[in-house]
Amino acid sequence: MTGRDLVGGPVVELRHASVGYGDRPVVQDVSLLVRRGEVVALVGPNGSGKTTIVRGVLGLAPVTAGEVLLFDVPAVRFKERWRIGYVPQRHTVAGAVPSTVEEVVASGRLARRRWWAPSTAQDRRVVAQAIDVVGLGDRHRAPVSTLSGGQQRRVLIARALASEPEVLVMDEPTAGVDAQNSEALTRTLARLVDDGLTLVVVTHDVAPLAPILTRVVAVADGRVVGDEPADVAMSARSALGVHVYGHVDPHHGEPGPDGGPGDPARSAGSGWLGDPGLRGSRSAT
Amino acid sequence: MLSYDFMQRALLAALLVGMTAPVVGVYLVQRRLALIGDGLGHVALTGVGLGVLTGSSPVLVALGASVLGAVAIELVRARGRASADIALAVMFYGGIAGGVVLIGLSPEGTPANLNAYLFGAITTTTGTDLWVFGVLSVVVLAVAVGLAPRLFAVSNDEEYARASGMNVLGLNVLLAVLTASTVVISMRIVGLLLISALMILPNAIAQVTATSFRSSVVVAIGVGVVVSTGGTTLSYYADTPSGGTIVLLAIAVFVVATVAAWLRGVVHGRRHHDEREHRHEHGPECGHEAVPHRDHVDYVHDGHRHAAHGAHYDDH
Repeated sequence: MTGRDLVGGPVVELRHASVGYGDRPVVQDVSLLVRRGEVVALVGPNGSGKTTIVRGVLGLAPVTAGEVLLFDVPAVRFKERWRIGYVPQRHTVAGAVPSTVEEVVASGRLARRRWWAPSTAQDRRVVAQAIDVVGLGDRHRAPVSTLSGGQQRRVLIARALASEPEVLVMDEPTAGVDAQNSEALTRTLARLVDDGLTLVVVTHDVAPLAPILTRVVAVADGRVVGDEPADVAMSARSALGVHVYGHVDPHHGEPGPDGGPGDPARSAGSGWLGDPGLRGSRSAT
Repeated sequence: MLSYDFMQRALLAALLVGMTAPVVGVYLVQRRLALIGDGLGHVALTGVGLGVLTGSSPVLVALGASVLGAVAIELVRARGRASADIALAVMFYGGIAGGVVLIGLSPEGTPANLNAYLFGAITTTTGTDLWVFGVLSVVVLAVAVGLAPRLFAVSNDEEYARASGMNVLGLNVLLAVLTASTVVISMRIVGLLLISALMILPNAIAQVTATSFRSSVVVAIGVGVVVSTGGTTLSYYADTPSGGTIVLLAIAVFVVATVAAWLRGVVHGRRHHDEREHRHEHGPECGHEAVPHRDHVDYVHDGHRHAAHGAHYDDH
C-alpha cells in the first residue's frame, strides 16, 4: 500500500492474480487494491501486461490463478456489472450500419435494464445526461461516423457513464488524441471524480492526466514493479522512473511508423511522468 | 392475377419474408457476417431433403435442421480458433451436398423440385406453409424488435457487451436461430440460395440515406416488402423463378438509390457534401481555417468553404 490517505472501501482488488490466454499467462502474481475515490494510472511499456490486467478485472481475459474481487465480491460471482464502466481502447465506434450518438450511448444503459423492458424516462434522462457530460449534447442525433476521433472517444466514455457506474476503467483514453482534446478529457474526468467516481486508467503517458491522478502503478513484464502516490511519482523522489525507464528505454522515443497515435514525439519530450525533474533524477541515479 | 389462390398465398409469403429478412439481416450486416445467412440456407437444404424423402412436411424439417445448424455454427464461431473457418466450410458444403443427394433419392426428387427450393417458385406455397411462415414471422419480429437494444449492443461492440455483463453467447445463438427461422420463411418464394440477399440488400439500400440505426431498419423493411412483393408479381407476368426476380429487383433498386444519391450531391445548387464524407465535425479544434460569414462560421476545406447545414455542409 501507499501510505497515502485511503479514501474508501475496496472497488477493484487483485490477489496474486495471473491473467492469460490458454496456457500462456501474460500477467503473473499481481496484487493490487483500488479503493473508492482513487484515480489510479497503470503505466508501462507496450506488452507489459497493463491492458491484460484490466481485461482480467473485467472478465474479458481468464484469470488463471489467484483471485479478482469487485466491490469485495469474487468477480465470477459479481452480478452488478453496471457499477463498472468500461471504456475500451478503440479509435472508432462506427459500425457497418449507421447509428447515432444517442443509440450507441443508450447501449451502455442496458446493464441497468431488464431483458424485455422498454427504456424508461429515467433511462433516457441518464443517457442524455451522459452525452451532455462529455460535451456532445448538441450532436446527440448525429451519426457517430461523422464525429472526429476525439469525439468518438467521448462517445465511448458517455456509453460507460450511461450505466451510472461507480468506477470507470479506461484503456488508453488519450492515445492518438491531440493535446487540446486530452486536456478537455481531463477536465471532464476531473468533474466526474469530484462527484465521487473512481478511475482506473491504463496509459502509456500520464502527463495529460497528472492534475487528477492520486496514484501511479508501474507494470513491466507482467508484474507490478512500482506503486506510488501521484505526488511522489511526479517528483524527483520517485522510484518509478528507474523501474519504468529501465524497461522502457530501449524502445522509448522511437518514432512510430507514421508519427500518429501514441504521439511518440511527445512522449519522448515529456517522459512517462511528464516531469522534467524525473529525468534529472534518473541521470542522478 | 389475384384471382388465383396460389398467387394470393405467394404474395402473402412474400410480404412475410420481406418484413422479417431485413430486420434480422441488419444485425448480420452490423457484425459483418453477411454470408452466415447464406451458409444457413445451405444447411437448411439438408433438412428440406430429409423432409422430401420422408414425405413429412419439408418446411418443418428444414426449420429443425437450420436451427440445429445455426446453434452449431455459433458454437463453432465462439471457439474462435483458426479451425473454425474450416469447420464452417465443411458444414456449409455438407448441408448443400446432403440436400441435393437426399432430394435426388426421393421419388418426387425432380430437378424442377430442387430448383424450386434453391431459387423460389410462386406456385409452391401451400396453406399449411403460410401458417408456419406466419407464426415464425410473428415470433422472429417480436424477438428482433423486443430485444433490439441488446442485439444492437452485442452486434456493435461484442467485447463491451461482455464487459457489461450481457450473455453474449446466448445473444449470438439467439441471432443465429432468428436467421435460421428467416431462412425457412423464405424457402418457398426466395429460395435457400438467395435468401441471404434479401437479408442484406434492403439494408444496403437503407444505408444510402439513413443516419440512424432505427431509421435504417424502418427503410430496410419498406424496401424488403416492396421488392419481395414486387418481384413476386413480376415473376408471375414474366414466368421467371421468383427468388431470382426478387433479388434482381433489389439490386436494381440498390443501383438506382446509389446513383440517385450521387447525382443529388452533384446537381444540388452549390456542391453539397454529405457530412459522412467528413471524418470530423468542423469546430475551433479541427484545424481547418475558420472564416466568419454573416451569422455563422465557414471552414476552409479542400479549397472551398463549408458551412454546417443540418446533416451536411453547404459550400459558401
